[in-house]
Amino acid sequence: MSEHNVGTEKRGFSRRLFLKGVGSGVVSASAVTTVLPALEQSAAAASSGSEVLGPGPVPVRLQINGVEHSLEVEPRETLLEVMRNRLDITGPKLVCDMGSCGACTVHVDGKPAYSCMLLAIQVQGKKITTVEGLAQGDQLHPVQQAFVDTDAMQCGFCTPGFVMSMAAVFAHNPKASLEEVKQGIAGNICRCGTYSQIFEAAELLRKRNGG
Amino acid sequence: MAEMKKVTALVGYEGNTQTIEYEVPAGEPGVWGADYGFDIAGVKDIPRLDAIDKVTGRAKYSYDINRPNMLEAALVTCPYAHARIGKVDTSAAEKMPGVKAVEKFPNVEGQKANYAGWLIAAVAAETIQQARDAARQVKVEYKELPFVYDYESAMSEAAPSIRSGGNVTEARSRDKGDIDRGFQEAEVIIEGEYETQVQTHSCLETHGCVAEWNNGELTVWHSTQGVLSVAQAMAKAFSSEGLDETKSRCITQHMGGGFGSKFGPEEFGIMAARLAKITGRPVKLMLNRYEDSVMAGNKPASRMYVKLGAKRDGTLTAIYAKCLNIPGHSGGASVNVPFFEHYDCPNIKVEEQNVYINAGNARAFRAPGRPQGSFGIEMALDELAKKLDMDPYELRAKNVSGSLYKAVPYELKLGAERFGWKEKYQKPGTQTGRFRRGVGCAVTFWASTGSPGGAVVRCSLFSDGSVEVANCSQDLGTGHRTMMAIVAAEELGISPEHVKVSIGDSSLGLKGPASGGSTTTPTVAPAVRSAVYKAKQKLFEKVAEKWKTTADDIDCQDGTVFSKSDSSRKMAWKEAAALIRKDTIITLGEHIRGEVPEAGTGAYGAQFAEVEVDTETGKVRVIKIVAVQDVGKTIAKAQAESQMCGAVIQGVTSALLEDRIMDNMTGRQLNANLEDYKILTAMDTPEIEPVMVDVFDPINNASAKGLGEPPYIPTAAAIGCAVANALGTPVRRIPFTADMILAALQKKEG
Repeated sequence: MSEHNVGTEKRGFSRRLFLKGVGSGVVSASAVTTVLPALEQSAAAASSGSEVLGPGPVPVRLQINGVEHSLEVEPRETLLEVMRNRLDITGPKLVCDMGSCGACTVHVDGKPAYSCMLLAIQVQGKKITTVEGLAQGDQLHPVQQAFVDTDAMQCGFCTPGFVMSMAAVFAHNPKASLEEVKQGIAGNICRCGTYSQIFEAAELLRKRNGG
Repeated sequence: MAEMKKVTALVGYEGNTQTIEYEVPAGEPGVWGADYGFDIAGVKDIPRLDAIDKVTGRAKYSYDINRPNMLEAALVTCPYAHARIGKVDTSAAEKMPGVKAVEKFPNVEGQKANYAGWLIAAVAAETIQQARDAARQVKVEYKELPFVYDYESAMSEAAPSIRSGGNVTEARSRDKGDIDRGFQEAEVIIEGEYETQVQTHSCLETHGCVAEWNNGELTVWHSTQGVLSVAQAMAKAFSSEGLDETKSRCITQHMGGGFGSKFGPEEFGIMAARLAKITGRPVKLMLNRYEDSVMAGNKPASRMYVKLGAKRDGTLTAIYAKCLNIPGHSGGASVNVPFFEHYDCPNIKVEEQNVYINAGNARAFRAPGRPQGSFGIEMALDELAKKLDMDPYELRAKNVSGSLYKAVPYELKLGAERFGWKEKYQKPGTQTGRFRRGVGCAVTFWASTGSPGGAVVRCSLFSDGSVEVANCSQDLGTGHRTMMAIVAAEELGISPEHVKVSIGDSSLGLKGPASGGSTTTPTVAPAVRSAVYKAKQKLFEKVAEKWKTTADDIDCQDGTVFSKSDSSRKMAWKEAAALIRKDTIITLGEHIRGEVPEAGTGAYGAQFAEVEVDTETGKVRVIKIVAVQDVGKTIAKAQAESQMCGAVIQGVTSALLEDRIMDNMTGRQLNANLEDYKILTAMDTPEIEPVMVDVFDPINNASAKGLGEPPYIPTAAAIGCAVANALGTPVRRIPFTADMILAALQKKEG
């Protein structure tokens, strides 16, 4: 299992699981995930009579980048949609909308997650960090600085996702090896093909961390 | 006739240089030669000007533009591969919650939909969810028609004709010499059939725009490779409603990938502007991933029969190819150039036909037609080498020639050394274990020359020493913005971060190229240099006045302006700029082609691939690629290296993974998403060594050539040759999926 999906899969009712449940059977070359245990959890939640919300708008409170947002959203709206369309937080990108590419990666309670695979209503009470919340004022996060220093981007549309995935890897292990980093970013696609430079960023960061 | 001056420059490439003298207009700079003494361009790694915006999420792409009171739009598309469109009933959709407008595409009723994804109507609503809900309520009558989904179904006798004139175009032929004589002179002949797949562009930012009207003026934030062409086309589309080019503006500050698929306003872009006009509110219309996959461009498949003739010593006598190109329901495609330009051969003939199928039309895809043709000629060359019992590198080296500006023999040799070809090469099929390694090589060619007169750059030099260069071009992620700053900084001897670059906005009113054909750098860089050079001369006149000398006695470097004749006279750049006072220096520069015979031969290169094939699972792993490329004069070093690596990676993913799968039962694309349409990720990325060869070429004053396309052309071919070398038998179709590898092995070894 890639580092990536741990945050979303264990929650039980993500869109990704639903899609998997109805069964394409095809798993992506990069983001191989284990579905079964989580599906069982989901079934358990349904049989215990969970609350039914919607289809109309419901109030939600979201804590994103340290700011509390109270607003009304339709229960079907993903975290990504709510951030982009209602809160103008556009760092996380909408690309595949099905958990295949990682461009929408955020941290939920410190763990990386695809925000297109999470409903906004299910992340209430959790601490959400987007790429906008990574830097401390003008001081870039070390991963961001490493990306700048190694020119690890071209068009940049995937960059917020890669930065968030790699930040999670280095939060877990500040001296992460390149192999660990590759595992951690395996669920992210860069269409311009800047992987070589992203690897350089990871190596630079490892060295800066004394690794 | 403008006054001319003589200039000299050291041109050519390492081991083959020459000082030339030629004339340029008196106010223009001579070409940057090898002896210029570069401080920044190609020397230093300069951070991308927009790097911080991109890593912090501050960079706003078209998809990120949220305007006050903005509506979201969703599309209705045809679900059938081939159908006659009847009545389109929007009445139910109009009554849906949040809906503000439902519009049919012009003349859609009665049209024939030629692929699943054909545009029918669009809905604008308060939220994207409401727009999608309403789009599902648009009732469309269809009469399904029989369809064709690949070249075989399109060419069969029973095939329905999907367009007037039939599914197959007349053969067109390009000829050189006498092909029959070429084969008569041949001592060895080989033939083979090669196939390449359809790739979708799959830009991460889908196609689309935000459109907004204010007081009769239109602004679109469009995900495009050409801000000027979009603004112009929008003005034309709404000309009957009073829009003209002074009132039509296109902004693209950042763009999430194009690769040739994002030119023009798009029908759905015009629809966005239409919906905005009807509702009086800004409208965002971005394609969803399915729509982007099926309608917004693809690289045509090809099927190439190739026959080569050669002398026993490997000298090519004849190259013949008969090719089918499959560009979807419309559009062109041609693969002949690599057969003509990569290798020297006196007799060449390529015949081509297009075969049309019920699929979205092809668009330019990074070096249109070249990777396909490259796969055909290079794979065939390796089969020839095998038959001649010759090292395929030696065969290639024997059939290329160089000149002052054409470095391909040098590039092949350099690549072989860097790669360790001699040590790594074994005869095809030598290895016998489970994991078998193989090596291959291929050459590349792209014109890369830019468009004379294609750009006007404005340079503004202010009294505080700051400098702005502006042009209506756009940065697709190539580093164009940074490249412009580096050219200006190199010319002025200041740091690139002191140069502001204004691009990506048609309202700048300065002619600029659409970014395609690897023409942006060779078109804009010389115009930047021309503008900045002229501004510098004006500043030098002020300085000369102060020092009571002449402008041609003044120069600048490392932030200092100094007298060439009197070393005691110097001042800081800012001090010199202060002499301007309120008279900001504003100059315009253009791309002017130098009058040098032989200049501009285009850019050649060579790539070397090492692969490992798992003969039990059929998995191909690319170990390493060495990419040697003529880049003209390297300008933005870090960004150029990144672009080379990116091109190679797109070549690797085309060789190993990407393939549009059409369903023979429905004619629909089965993998119109990023889950089942496989794109290379970090795990499968090989080691890549980019080797940039500076070929100083007075094609323009910056010796600038384009780099986006040439390094993408030969990668899949080099990998294909390496796979054939590993297995001892060629696999003649990409992508090299496990089943194809195993089938080839079974055929060979039983």
